[in-house]
Formats: sequence, structure tokens, C-alpha cells
Amino acid sequence: MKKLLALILVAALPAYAATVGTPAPDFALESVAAQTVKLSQYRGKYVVLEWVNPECPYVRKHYGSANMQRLQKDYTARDVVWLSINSTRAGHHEYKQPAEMAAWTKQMNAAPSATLLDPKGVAGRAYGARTTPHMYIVDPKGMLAYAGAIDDKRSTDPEDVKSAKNFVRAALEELLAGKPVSDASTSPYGCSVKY
Amino acid sequence: MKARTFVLWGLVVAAIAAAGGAWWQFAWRTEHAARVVTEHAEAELVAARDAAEPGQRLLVALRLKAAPGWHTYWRNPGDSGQPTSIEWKLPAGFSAGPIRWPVPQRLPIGPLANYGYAGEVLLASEIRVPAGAAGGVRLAARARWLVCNPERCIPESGELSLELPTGRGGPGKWGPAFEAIRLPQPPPADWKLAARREGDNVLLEVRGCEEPALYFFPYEEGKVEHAAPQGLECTGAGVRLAIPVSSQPVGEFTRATGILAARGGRAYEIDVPIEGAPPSR
Repeated sequence: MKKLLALILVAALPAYAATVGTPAPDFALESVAAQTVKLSQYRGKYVVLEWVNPECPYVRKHYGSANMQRLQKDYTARDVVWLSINSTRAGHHEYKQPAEMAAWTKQMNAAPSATLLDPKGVAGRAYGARTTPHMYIVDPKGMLAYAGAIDDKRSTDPEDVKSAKNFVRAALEELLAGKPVSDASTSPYGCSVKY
Repeated sequence: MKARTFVLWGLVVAAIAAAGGAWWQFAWRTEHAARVVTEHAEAELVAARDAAEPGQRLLVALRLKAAPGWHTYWRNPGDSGQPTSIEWKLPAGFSAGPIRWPVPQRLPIGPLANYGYAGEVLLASEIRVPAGAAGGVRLAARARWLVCNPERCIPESGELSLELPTGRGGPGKWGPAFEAIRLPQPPPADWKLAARREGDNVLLEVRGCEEPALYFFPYEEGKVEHAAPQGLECTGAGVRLAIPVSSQPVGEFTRATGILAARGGRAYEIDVPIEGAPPSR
């Protein structure tokens, strides 16, 4: 019975996951520093959600090239909150314990405001997170302003970072300047989230 | 002493030059391999015929075989992944058409789904052989693919080549495999297709259709919820397929363009305009 229930829970993303232009779902997740972090505690600020998995070659492209770290540093310096979320299920080959995830973040010289673990995939499913990386931007009113890819070159080649159009940077610049986002919904690329 | 050192150095330089020359030749010859075998896949170029006939078209395919439990991706990979790509390196006068993508499989993984190929797939392109081709041809390509299983994903690539004599030739060893490639067909003449947007679905009406099961594989990404089931209802005149629209759509969903797959290996290529504006949220 439990297995059947688990199967039913696993088998479906919510019928309609978060949509650009509507309220971003709240969540409460444990950070790698064992603190409970809620999206709603950041109401009044821009929040970037970055779905991450250190084992994914597409994530490695953006961290190996320091692209992700640069974005994190540039925008946390401008009072944007950056939350890196790992929704890999406990028991999966690529699951990382909090200490491992913290160590990786440090090793990468990454600068998120917090690194959150979502081993039950609750936040991932609420956002319809499909890939790593999969990027979202929530505005100060709690509305979802961007969902999709980090940039427009689907590849694992770090060389492509330089010439790619970075959708997250472009959207944040538009939002911080009070302009509408030109590309608010793009096709995310990466490995599948390991629910 | 000085003379001997000079001679010794001369010999060393000569040896390096010779080795370098030999290495360069070796590197050029092995730069493209007949077959690339990685831990998770096998890749080679295969031709439908055993010779390249001058002035004619020849089907040449990337034969990509993922290891058991692993898969590669269709032109729309679904929720994640990356389509296989082929960059042809052809002699002067030759040209290659686009990949003719065989009907994909739906590959569910938890709450997500991909579109691709478990096991082997032949991704064929039409190569135009110039009228003046003679003395044999060497076709080369750089193929890139992402091969995944539920545990992980590995990007791989191969520099491949295929040598063929010029001439009329015959079907060759791979002829039957090319015949067996499952490509979508035009829909039956007596089918009438129409599509309209209704709430969170696109309803595809297929009048004259009696298929008990259908699935729509969209060519475009960011239009359909790839993991969601597509409900099929019988109507008086045929069937109606409810295709869930993506909750994070990319661009407007104005045409249902892609493959309508039925049971028994039947699959049809469709391109149907979708009536009705998206609902305001």
C-alpha cells in the first residue's frame, strides 16, 4: 500500500506547475547549514532559483567556466537573493549529503545566498523543474518573472558560454531597470532532475 | 667532442622530425575512425548501398547504438537531454540533407519524460553524389550525442568516416536495416484533422480514425507537457486526443506539428493549425 502511494506521488508532477506571470509557489527547505529557508522570507527582493546537480555535465559546464559563480556574485552584490536547489532524491546514485553539497559549493567558489536540499522533490515539482540547470526569477511581489534556460546554447562545452546569450543576466538587468522581461520563458536544457 | 655532439644532436633532430612526420600521418589516418566505441555507445557511418553512384543520391546513416539501459535523443528531446547532431565533412561537390528522424520512443523517468531511442537507431541523411565522382569516396562526419540512463548522462562524440567505391553497386549489407527504419508517413487520405485550444489542452480531432491508442510527439520544444498522458476519446466520427499544453510554454502554440504515433508501428507526420487563443491566466 505504501509503495503504491509512493508510486502515485512519484508518478505525477502537479497538473500545472508554476507559470510565469503568476505567484511563485512558496517552499520551506533545509539549507546545507541546517537552517530552514522559505521563499516567502525574501518577499520584497528579487530571488533567483537555480536547480543544480554537481554530477551533471551541463552544470559542470557553467561551474567549470565560472559562469554560474560570476552571476551569483554579480547579482547578490546588487541585493538579489540566489538560492541553489538540489532536488536529487535520497538514494539516487548522485545524491549529495548536506556536508558534501556544502563542500562542493565551497570548492567551486560559488556564492549563492543559500544552498538548499530538496530530496523529496517538493520544491522541484512545484516549479516543474525538469533540468539541471533550470533557472527561475521571482520578483519582489512574489510573482514568477522568468523560467527556463540559463542561456541559448544547449551544449556541455564550456567554450560556448562566452558567445551564448545569458537569459538570466538579461532578465535581471531588465527587471532591475524596471523594464519587462523580453524572454520570460525559454526552453531549459540539461540533465533531467533526479527525482 | 664538438663534432660528435653536433652529430648526436643532428641525429636527435632527424629522429624527432621523422617521428613527427610519421605521427602526423598516423594522426591524420586515425583522426576519423570507421567505428567509435565508447563505454556507453557504438557509433559508425553506414550506407544503404555498397557504392556511391555518380549523379545519384545515397542514404548514409549514423548508426548509434546505446548500451543496454541507456538511450540517445530525438530532435525534440523532451524534458531534458540533447538531440544527436551530425556535422558532415564531405569532398567537393557532395552535399548532405537533414537527418530523417525515425519515430521516437517515449522514455518516462519519474515525473518527467524524454523522447529518444533506447538501443540502436539509424539517423539517415541523403547524400548527393556529384556526376563527376570517381575513384572511390571518403565521407566523414563529426557526430555528437548525449547518452543517458536513469542514473547519469554522458556527452560523447566521434569523428567517423566511411569509404565507398564509386559505381552502381547494390543494396549492400545495410540495405535491409535502412528499409526497416521507421519513418512517419502521411496520414491516411480519409482522415480529417483539426485542432483547437481548450483550457490547458489542445484537442486534436481525427475524423475517420479508428486507432485505439495515439500519442502526439511535437517537433517543437516548449509546447507540450511531455510527461503527461494524452487522453483519447471516441467521438461519433473518429477520435479526439487531449494534448496537455506546457505550464511554462515557450512561444505560442499555433500548430500541432510532429508525429502522431499509433500502435503496431504506425506513425503519421501531421501539421495542423490550432484554433482558439490561449486562455488568459
